[in-house]
Amino acid sequence: MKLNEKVSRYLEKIPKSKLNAFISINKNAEKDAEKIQRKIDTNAAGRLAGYVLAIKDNIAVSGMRLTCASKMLENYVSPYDATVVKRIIAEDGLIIGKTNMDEFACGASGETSYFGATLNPSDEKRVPGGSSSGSAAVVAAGLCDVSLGSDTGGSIRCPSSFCGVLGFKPTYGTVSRYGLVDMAMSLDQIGPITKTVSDAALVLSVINGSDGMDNTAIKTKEDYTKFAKQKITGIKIGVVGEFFDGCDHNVEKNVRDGVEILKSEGAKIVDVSVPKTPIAVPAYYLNMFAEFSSAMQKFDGLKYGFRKEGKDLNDTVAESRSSLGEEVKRRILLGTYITMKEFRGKWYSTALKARESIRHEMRAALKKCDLLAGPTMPFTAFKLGDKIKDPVEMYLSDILTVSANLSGLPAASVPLEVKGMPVGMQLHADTGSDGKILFAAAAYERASK
Amino acid sequence: MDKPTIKKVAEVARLNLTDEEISDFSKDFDGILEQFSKLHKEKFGEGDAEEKAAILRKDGTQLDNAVAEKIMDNAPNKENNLYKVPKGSK
Repeated sequence: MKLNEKVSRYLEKIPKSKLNAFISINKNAEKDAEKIQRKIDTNAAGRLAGYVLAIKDNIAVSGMRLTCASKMLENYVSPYDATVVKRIIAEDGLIIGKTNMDEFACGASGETSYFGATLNPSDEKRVPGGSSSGSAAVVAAGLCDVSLGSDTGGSIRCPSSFCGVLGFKPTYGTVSRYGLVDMAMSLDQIGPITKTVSDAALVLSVINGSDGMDNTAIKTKEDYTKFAKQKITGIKIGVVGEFFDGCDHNVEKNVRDGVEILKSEGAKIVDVSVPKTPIAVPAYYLNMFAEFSSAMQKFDGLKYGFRKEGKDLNDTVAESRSSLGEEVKRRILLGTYITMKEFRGKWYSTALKARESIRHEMRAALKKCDLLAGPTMPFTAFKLGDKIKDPVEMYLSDILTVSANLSGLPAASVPLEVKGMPVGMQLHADTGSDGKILFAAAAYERASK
Repeated sequence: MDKPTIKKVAEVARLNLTDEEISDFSKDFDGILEQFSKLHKEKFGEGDAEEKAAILRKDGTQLDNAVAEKIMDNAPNKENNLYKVPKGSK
């Protein structure tokens, strides 16, 4: 199929979808498709030619709105392209639109968007997971080929698990964050959401590599497509006991079956332990709150974004910021509180120590094996409205994904072959060993089909 | 967390909250911080981290008028290509 036909089909299908997964559509998509098709016809096209991509709406695409699913940025138009977007366009990837998300990435369910919740393509009464809710839903529902999400504490992997697609969070520093609206700078990483391992490897190969605009993106550019073809004979996979504590029986069974498939493909299975797993949630949230409340200070209604005039300058700022949603305000307040001089020693300093101890344990576990395996989420997608009124319960659902961010490790949610609602198996590798996850995921993909 | 503390934090965070928000957050925060106080029961080793300095980009300007114009297009209020903001308080 020619790219323009493919794009036209997507553009017909998207408005008929009830998922509420897109915030903006690229008005030039058809023109872009023609341009890329001409390159394909003359064998002058880049590696992503023929691919139709959707981008999470916290990543800048020049000339398109960048809303972060917030009233604050409802009408903000990106003045430039994020580095990842530049690289996608340079390889002739076609961007079809910007996807819905939890407001400023604050959420694990996809329900906090100012533009309304995204629905799960497998069951529209259930949440798609968050915060990259739209990016996972559009790939699962076949409204584009692949997408980009961002992951601060599981925001790529959680919705990928709930929607039944592959979500990959690379090692911290693998992908430039330039043009990503930061949530917590030391934890954020952009990554692909795809249906197949080879697509994830291709997109990652295009977007990774050092960038002068982000000094944490220091890794030399690598080609990951070679990993999707390797055999896993001899690779050692550590099954982490603590990752199954409190997990739904059905999820546990499916993940253990997934590990058995990897064993039958030649992997060696060992038991490993990460005893500090129960403190991962407080360690993560306290670190994230602190960085998030600081990152959100720039939204003051003065230079861009929503403005509501107040009595004077300070009041105008405070009034404008009142347009932010409940969960965003909750996190700003908690982040401000735990970093105030009086409370910083008790909360933020402790959280930094806890983060380091989790990083230490995760890396020690990875000295005993090549990959850590467990569930991505302790349960399958829950019903819309079930957890949104209980922040503690919502935060606790991130227990299995946050350790990768706290440790800077790569981790992916691999969709399992299941009956009923989708289940994801999570694989972690040591920093820089992202390729190992890809070849284990590819082995599972081949064996399960 | 009592309401005066929430009010103080909101002021530092530059958020105007309604009375309803203050009382809702007041209830929420006790539950959240109680859950997070698990951390205080843990022992952390000597080597466990302190605050690290941020990795920063070198200072420098890249003046691109076309981008500058697009940036100003996003201003909620402007005059002569300058941001127009209310007077500061005393």
